[in-house]
Amino acid sequence: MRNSLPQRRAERGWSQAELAQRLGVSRQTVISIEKGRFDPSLPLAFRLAREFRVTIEDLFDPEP
Amino acid sequence: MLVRWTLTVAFALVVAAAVGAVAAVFNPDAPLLTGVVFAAATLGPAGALGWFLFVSPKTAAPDPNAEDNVENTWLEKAAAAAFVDLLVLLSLALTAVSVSGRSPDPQLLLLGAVVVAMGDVAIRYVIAARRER
Repeated sequence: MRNSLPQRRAERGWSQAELAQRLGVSRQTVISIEKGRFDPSLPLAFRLAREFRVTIEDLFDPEP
Repeated sequence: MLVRWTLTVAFALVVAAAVGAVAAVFNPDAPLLTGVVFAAATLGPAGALGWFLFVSPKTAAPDPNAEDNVENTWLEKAAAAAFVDLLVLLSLALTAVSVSGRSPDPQLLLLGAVVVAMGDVAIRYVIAARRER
């Protein structure tokens, strides 16, 4: 699943480790999500959307 | 906390003594030696179990987001695949035993199953982790 996580993270100047800490997950989880290799759980997707103050649809694109 | 640690030590001693006693009963040739060896071997795992039951609830908070981590997915996939591997392996072993009419040592068979299951999960987990990096 494609996502705009790297761009939005870069806009805020957050490192992958910082975002992982904010979300309460491992840095590898953030890396895997950004690469599109790991689809986050619904609760994690909501936490991501909340961190970036956007909707889940703004963050993730279900098209491959 | 002292009470919890005392409970842990007592639990470990009781479990180790019980396992040692059972082992001694089933090995009448050298009951004392068997009992001592089994009790000594059980003491460590029983202590760890005691710590898990009595101490860890107060000292180690569970990670509320553990299931959201990609590592959890790797482990679940590795365990599921290892289960299928083990099922196939044991089915083949059962077929071989049935056809040949020869029964292997059950202790060896169970030890092999445990080692294969643990090794399979570990290898599959490492492969999944390397693919992601």
